[in-house]
Amino acid sequence: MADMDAVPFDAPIPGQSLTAELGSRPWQQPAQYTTVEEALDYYLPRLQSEEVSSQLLDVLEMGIPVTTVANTMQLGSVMEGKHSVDVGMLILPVLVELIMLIGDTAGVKYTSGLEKDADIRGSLVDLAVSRFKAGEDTPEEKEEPVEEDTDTGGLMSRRVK
Amino acid sequence: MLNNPTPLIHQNLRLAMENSVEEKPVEQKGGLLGPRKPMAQKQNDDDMLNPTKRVASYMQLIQQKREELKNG
Repeated sequence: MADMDAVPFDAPIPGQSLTAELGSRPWQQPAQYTTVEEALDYYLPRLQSEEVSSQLLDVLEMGIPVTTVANTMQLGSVMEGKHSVDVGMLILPVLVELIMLIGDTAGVKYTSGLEKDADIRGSLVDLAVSRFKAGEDTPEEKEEPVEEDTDTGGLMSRRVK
Repeated sequence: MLNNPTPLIHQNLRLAMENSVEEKPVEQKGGLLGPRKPMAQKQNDDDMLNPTKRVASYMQLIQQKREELKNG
């Protein structure tokens, strides 16, 4: 089913992936770090460095959610060919916790981005139920049956007195 | 369209961690025909091969650190 919320113009043109030679992009090459541990070893020193951590704290102070920052970081690394999308998905929760730890240590008030989904229990059905409970998806109001006019006013019918 | 899967992944992993039952240490019985490794230990070894379980353990570790930081 087509997603009505999706922006139709924010999508690649059909065939756009074929405009560059196969293997010319970093993400089309074998990933540099193939395990969760290797990928975390790549992120940890970077997050702990003064330059990155100060920028990170600035971003958190601006009110950008931790989940968005973590997702952007892993997506950037996937594009650089550092690790695969799978490893990126696996390390996401650890990145979120790490960023929150850095924020807590520095005493920065941040938005985690997890508050909204406190009621989500995983499956899409549960997501739909939680949305329904929150009142986002109100059921369509039932149309009241319109009383049909029973008076069939044909030419030959009797006049109602 | 799901643009940012982070909250969903975080939530799922947290729930999985909460639902996982803590195993009690099993006493090893040293019979000649007994298994070389107790089954519980074998299970733990298999868990460590699962990247999701490893990620959950790292996450738990960092959460503990955060709790310690909050509690002073």
